[in-house]
Amino acid sequence: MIDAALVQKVAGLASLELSEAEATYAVKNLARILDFVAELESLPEPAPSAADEGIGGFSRLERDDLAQPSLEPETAMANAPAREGTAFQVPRIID
Amino acid sequence: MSDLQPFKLTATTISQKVRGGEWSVRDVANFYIERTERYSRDLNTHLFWDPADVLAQAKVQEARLKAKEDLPLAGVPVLIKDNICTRSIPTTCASKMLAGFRPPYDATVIARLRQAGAIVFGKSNCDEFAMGSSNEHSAFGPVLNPWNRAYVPGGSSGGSAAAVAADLVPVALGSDTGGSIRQPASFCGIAGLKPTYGRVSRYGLVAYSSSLDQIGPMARSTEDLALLLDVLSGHDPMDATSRVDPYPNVASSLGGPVALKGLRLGLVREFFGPGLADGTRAALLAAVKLMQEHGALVEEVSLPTLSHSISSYYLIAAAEASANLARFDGIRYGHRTARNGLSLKQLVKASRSEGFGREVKQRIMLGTFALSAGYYDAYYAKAKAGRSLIAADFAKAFGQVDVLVAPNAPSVAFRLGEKSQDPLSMYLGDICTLGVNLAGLPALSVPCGFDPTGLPIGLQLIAPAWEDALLLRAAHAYEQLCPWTKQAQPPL
Repeated sequence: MIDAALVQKVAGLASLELSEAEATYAVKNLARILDFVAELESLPEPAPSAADEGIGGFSRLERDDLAQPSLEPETAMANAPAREGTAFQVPRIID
Repeated sequence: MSDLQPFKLTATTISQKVRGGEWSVRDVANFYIERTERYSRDLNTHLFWDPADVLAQAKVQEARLKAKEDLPLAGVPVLIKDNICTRSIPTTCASKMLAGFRPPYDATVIARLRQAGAIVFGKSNCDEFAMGSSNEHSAFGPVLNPWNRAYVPGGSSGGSAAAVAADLVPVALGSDTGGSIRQPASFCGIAGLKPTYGRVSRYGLVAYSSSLDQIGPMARSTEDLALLLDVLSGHDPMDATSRVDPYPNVASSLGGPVALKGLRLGLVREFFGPGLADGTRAALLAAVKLMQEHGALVEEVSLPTLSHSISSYYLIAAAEASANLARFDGIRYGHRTARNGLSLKQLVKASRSEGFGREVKQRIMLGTFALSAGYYDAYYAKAKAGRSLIAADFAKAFGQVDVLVAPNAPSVAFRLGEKSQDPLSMYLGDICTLGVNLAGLPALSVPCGFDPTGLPIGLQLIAPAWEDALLLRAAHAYEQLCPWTKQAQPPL
């Protein structure tokens, strides 16, 4: 089922580009892993479980919709690989 | 200071002596600075540490002691796995993708450690984004096992485990998504605790698989695990999955072997089959026999659905990883390609492809595939079904017994390079630890002996959710009977 075309499609969905060697590696290993996990096929469809609701059964908390302190722009921008003023720099979006 | 001796100190002792005025924070810091300078490079345990920063922190904590502040971790050096954010200190997740990244905030666990008087002693090497079981998937090279440098230290918290084993720090933090604290603790002959999911805040832990990740302590004694757990536990408004209820102090509740009287231990039958190495089986059964002689009641229990744990885990973890790691785009932080003339889409693709290592790419691909249209029901939905069955099996077992007993891995540490070219074979080795994460349970590894080649073996104990204190009391009782870390040290 797994072939080079499907691997390249999935890589595209994952925003990755694979070299030829990486694609070959991915085809081989993803196929082996998917063969292995096929053992789950026999399981019934899951009923809603604790795993969906939060493990341990404790209830989720909601907080009031109030503004909270957050990072100063300068601090938030400090790790940007490229910036202009207080904006992250990206390539042209409109072709 | 003459009584600062390698392999003799624990976090509990350090804190007591520093608070009692016998030792200064600075003397303790200098002792560990010297050890780190001497051994960390060869073992490749540290990705970043700064002696000047350590001494500056020591000065701050000394001043707080003088001001009579209550500091349960006064002067205790703690090494931090490099996937936990430390303000202004590089946090790379052992990935080229985050080279040079300095977080603008401390993770909640770091803030709690600092508040308790601890010294953040540096960042430890690990598998890239915590994805691995051998520490060979670090962009900065593998960590070596201090007991035998031809062997892996385990992973993904391998740097933390090896550093504690070599006494470069008394305690460290790791993270455990599928065994990443317990398995390296076992391979390196130390103790490691994965707390109940929701007990310790994940705020500031770089997310791999958010429904499975949990931060926990690594140490050379269970007493130190409890000391750290007491500091780390508690509700955090920044983590919606952290429980609100308060926790009673665990460290003060540790008794002696008396805790074993009437304790119902369940040997997980599926883990003691023919796949378990003879040396590991012998050490585990000897530990169980000793506990039985001191009053524990032992029976076998069966958790048949654990056979689905590898498939369920790798699909769920990879699916969550594919979503969590989508944030690395080369725009806001992290690696950005130097290639020119790219569109926005091409820039993101190129940056990610240059920044991520092979195993991370593989798991992102697996997760993307499992979540994609046409495959979701066949893979991700089935993995969730497996998870529900495993959690139900554990719940049933805890109707029979108080604590489960298992290995942490089918064998002791393996040789460097032995499995690194075969991802599936590496995944299969995780069979003994994954179920605990899928069910959100607390579990720990405590040393229980050595195999004939001299490599350490760990005993895994597993308790029901929120019974972390019971778990530590049981492990502490065994440790009092058989204190392996006091009997042997790695040959540095």
